Amino acid sequence: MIARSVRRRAAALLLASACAAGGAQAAAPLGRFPVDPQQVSVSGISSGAFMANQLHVAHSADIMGAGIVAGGLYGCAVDKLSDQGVMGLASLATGPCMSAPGLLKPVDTYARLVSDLAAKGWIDPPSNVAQARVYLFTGKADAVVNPKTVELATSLYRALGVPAAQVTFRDQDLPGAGAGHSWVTKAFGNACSANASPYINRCDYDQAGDVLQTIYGTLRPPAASPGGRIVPFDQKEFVAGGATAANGLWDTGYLYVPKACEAGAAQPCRLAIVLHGCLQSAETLGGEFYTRIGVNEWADTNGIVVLYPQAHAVSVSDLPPTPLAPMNINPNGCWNWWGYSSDTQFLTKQGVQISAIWSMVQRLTGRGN
Amino acid sequence: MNGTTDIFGNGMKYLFDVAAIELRNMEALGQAQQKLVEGWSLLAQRQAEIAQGTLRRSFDQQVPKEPTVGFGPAALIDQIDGLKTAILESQANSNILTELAARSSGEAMTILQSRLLAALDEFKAALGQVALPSPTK
Repeated sequence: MIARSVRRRAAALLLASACAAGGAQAAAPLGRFPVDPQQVSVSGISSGAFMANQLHVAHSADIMGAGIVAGGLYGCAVDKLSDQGVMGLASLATGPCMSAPGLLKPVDTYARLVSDLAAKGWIDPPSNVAQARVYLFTGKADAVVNPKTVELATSLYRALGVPAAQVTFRDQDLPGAGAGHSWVTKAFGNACSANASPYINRCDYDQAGDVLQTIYGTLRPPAASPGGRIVPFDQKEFVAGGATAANGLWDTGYLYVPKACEAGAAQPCRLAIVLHGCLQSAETLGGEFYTRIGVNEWADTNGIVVLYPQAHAVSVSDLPPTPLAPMNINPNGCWNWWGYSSDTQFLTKQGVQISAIWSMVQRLTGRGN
Repeated sequence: MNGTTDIFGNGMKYLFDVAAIELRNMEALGQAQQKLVEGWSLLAQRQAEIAQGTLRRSFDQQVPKEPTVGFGPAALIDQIDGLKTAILESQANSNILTELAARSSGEAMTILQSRLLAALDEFKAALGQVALPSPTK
């Protein structure tokens, strides 16, 4: 009992110091860690799932697997492709991609978009995607992103050549009534069927473990509580001109470093990028997402450094005063999967957010500056 | 005499500057009109797709995949779900058309606004170069 109380106090202190670092004072630059560049994965929930999917498809040559929770379907918000980039629409994102999947096009259309973008050299050749191991999840009580969208995202991976044996699709096999729109945990968060903040639900299901084991294979059991450290870092240096706010990125990101992955580690560690959803950034939830979704516990015992980049709500005041500004906002701090902030490359390697996250990966693996 | 020449020379330059500004304004107007036409064409294309989609889905619904149960609760639930889907799809379609229209006029407005701001700066600069004689009593 005492041990539990001490642990809780230590966690609160850790959280408080991490939150302070994310506030007014600038965080330290992201450092380099002993990470194997061949073992990089990306996962996310909701807008983080759409972004995880984009990041995976764009950098498929360097990402070994993806975990897509309540989101996905590459390019479903794209209305038009031209030589200058793509035009995405917020109404396609909130309509066909989320609430009216009957309006989505056949999966071949999205597979063709992937080929077209690869032909332009904007994303890696799609043949790389076929090597990946992919986890997709939709809760049957999800009232935010229609389960059909996630089913179609699964079909798209299959259409891109991922063998059935490498795809884990979870939808209705959970205990209880099925999950609402959420990252699912064994025992933390809202009731399982809830569709409400913090969008972390307790369904007696260890989603973190399922995601990581789908991607990395069988792992050692998770730690009872994480023994590593949370490292806040400066995200501004990863965006041209430090323009994080105008591009939907917060100034501070977070990294979870297990003790076994500190500098001088005996073996290189894996790297898992984990992306929060809308209304889940540290700006909104404090440290809840990056400390309570169960990933750090698995990371601790399996040598996984976890990168938690952070998005930011974009309002009209963050943008240049043009008549198009109201159409480029991101009020809920979502990742960019429909082209806000006038980003016409949001789903390619040149997209501001994808490029920023990838530069973080390069820094961690020692391949960047 | 020199003063008169300067005034005449500056006046001519001012006229040329104004003509160049007008020319650029006309170009911007043309670009804005082109953006609007592109937007309308996209809008029309999208409307046609929506109509096709609606026809296709209504045709699909004409052919039941399995025999219906009749008037039982299951059939009613199906109808309620169908109605909910129709409402959500109709709203989504309407939102798409609205956004396309707003985006198209927003792009045209952006061109005109930036041209107007530039033209005002150019006029200011042109006026600054005209050395008009100060009023005498």
